[in-house]
Formats: sequence, C-alpha cells, structure tokens
Amino acid sequence: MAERHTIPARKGLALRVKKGQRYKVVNTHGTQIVDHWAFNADDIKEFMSMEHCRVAIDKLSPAIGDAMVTNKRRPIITLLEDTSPGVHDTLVAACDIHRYRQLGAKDYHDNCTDNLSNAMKAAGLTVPETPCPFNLFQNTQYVPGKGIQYLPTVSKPGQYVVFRAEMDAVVVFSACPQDMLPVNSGAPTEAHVETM
Amino acid sequence: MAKGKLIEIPARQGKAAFVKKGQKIKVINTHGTQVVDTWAFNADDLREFMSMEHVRVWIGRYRAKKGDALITNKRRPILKWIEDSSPGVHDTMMAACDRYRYQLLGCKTYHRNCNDNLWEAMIEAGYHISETPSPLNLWQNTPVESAGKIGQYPTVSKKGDYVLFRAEMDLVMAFSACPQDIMPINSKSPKSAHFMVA
Repeated sequence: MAERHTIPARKGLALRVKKGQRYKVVNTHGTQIVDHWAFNADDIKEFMSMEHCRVAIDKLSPAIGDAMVTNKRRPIITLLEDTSPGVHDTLVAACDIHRYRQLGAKDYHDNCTDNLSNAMKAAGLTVPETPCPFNLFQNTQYVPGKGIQYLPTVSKPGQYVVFRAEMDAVVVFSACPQDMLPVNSGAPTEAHVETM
Repeated sequence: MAKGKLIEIPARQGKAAFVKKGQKIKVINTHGTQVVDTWAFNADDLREFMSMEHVRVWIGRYRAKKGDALITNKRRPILKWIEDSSPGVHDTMMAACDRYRYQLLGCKTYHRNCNDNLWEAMIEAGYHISETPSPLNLWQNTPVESAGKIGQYPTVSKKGDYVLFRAEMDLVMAFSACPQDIMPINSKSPKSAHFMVA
C-alpha cells in the first residue's frame, strides 16, 4: 500500500525503506528542489556519495536505470522513473547557515544541512557528516563565460522521480528553503514522498 | 617564494604537513604524468576542511584554477591558488580512489589507494580525521564531455610543472600520489611528486 508523506516547506523528512522497496518523490508544486540523501540503515557511516556516483555512472547525473552508489561504491538506490525533464544536480553542496550569512541573512535561516541533521534526529539517528546531496529538480547549469547559473526548475506540478532501495536504507529529503536565489522560484514549497 | 625543504610524496603513497597561515605551498608534478590528490584541513578543527562541493559554488565553476580562493565546508577561504605553470587541467568532481574502487576494477588483493593514503599520512603527521572529503585532484584530466559524460585521460602537464597555494589559515595539507594504474589517468605508471612549504 502506498503511503504519502509530506516534506514540509523549508523542512526535512527521514524515512526508513526496505531493500527492494520503491519510493516516489513528487514535485507537488513543480518549482521545488528536493535535496536527497540515503544512508545504509545498518551502518550510518555508509551513505550515497555524489563524488562516488559520478565515477560509477561516468557522468554528471544519472539516467533511468542507473544505480547511485555509496562511499563504499555499493548501489544504494536505483533511478527507475522520471516524469520531469530529467534536470537534477550532483555538484552543489547543501545550503547551510554560512551560505545564507554570505547572501546577507542577518538571522537564522532554515537550511538543508540543518534539515538533514534534524530529520535524522527525529528518526533517532545522528548524521555522521553532511554528504553532498543529490539535488532533485535543481537546475544549475554551467554557462561558458557566465559560470554556474542558478535557474528556476524546469519541472511541472506533480512531476516525480521513482527510486528503488538496493539495501535497507534511511532516505532523507529537504524541501530546500533557498529564497535568496531563484532556484525555488523565490517561494519554497512543500513536496511529497510516496513509499510503495 | 622563499626556499623550503623539498618533501617527497613517494609513488603510490601519501604525505601530510602542517602549514602556518600566510605560508606558501608549492606542489610539483616532478614527472609530469602524475595526479596528486590534495586535501586541506583547518589545523584547529579537523572537521572543517576544503570541500569541493562548496568550492564549486564559491567559484561558480566546476574546475578550480589560479586566482581562486578554495573554501571549506564552513565556506571560509582555506587556500588561495596563486600560480599554476601547467595548462590548468585539474578535477573537483571525482572521489578519491579506495579499496572498493580497485575491487570493482578486478583487483583480488589489496591495492594502495588515495583514501588510505590520506588517513595514513594524517596519522603519520599526528592528526586524526573523521571523514574523507572529496579531494582536489591536481592534474587529473577527467573533463565533462558531451551529454555530461566524464572522460578519463592522461595528464596534460609537463615534467616539473607546479602549482602554488597560500594558506589562509593554519592548516594541515595532505597529498596522495595517486596509485591508479588500471585507468589511464597516471599514464598507467604511478610516480612520485614533491612539495615544499615556505
């Protein structure tokens, strides 16, 4: 039976999934980036690692059927389906309090790094470090002469990606609270995860 | 820079050294064909370190080069890249090689690797780290090609090419002369490299 979970706007969510289980990440409003992490449920120090994934898949971003691997180079999730135009990012760090201070925030600003750590805490776990996230729907393009451009998403409301867990895992999501750059069209929203 | 002592990074091995804020670090591709995985840790807090995923955001590019400030996971400059005598082909996107990589490439017995070289070098220098940051892979020629494909090729640097950094805080630098001899990135013949702090 499918279970629908909300990733609240600007916040995080951690879920346990069993090996073989599928989950769907839905860009409910279309404009939202979802930072995504996955940890081995039996050894939290093993986790999905972007710098290892890029070597495993020989490219910057996975295609349908590609497995994302851990820092021990073992498949942890496989991308099964993507109804969006397939624009995602593996290269940009999770936002953090330091990033928002540099962008001019004077007070605390919600951020994906703290969302990860708080979501893990809520699941009774302590995050060992902040791995570079798989930034679902994030449209950061390198434009020669202009550098990395932070652009609004190209996905539409309701578009989604489906993953299959390749081991028992804790999967974590953050509805990115970035509202000082246009990556979430200036208005962070909620998103949803359906476990199947 | 002032003349410092030339320190060898032995072929297939690592080496680490403390560097004071303001000092310069010269890394030399002695044989020209060698990739040198490079890390920098805040000497006062080893959990703060040069982080490639943060560097890319800071510099607005996927490839770091001369003139760039290289930042930590707290988004503070840790190194300033001052000189580069090579054609400027370096990598920020690939993980350090590790035992798992070599197992996947078919090795049946232990193969030296940059991940273990980092940990060994740090222990030898008296520091205990808690994680392996993604390294700055000096001279590694792994460009992004069409459709986001990543290629793996021999270096384009010459014998004696060097890069020069300035330390922006007290830090510990670690290097690994990459032992990769299955893929062509070190021309299948891992060699030593050298560095100097002054």
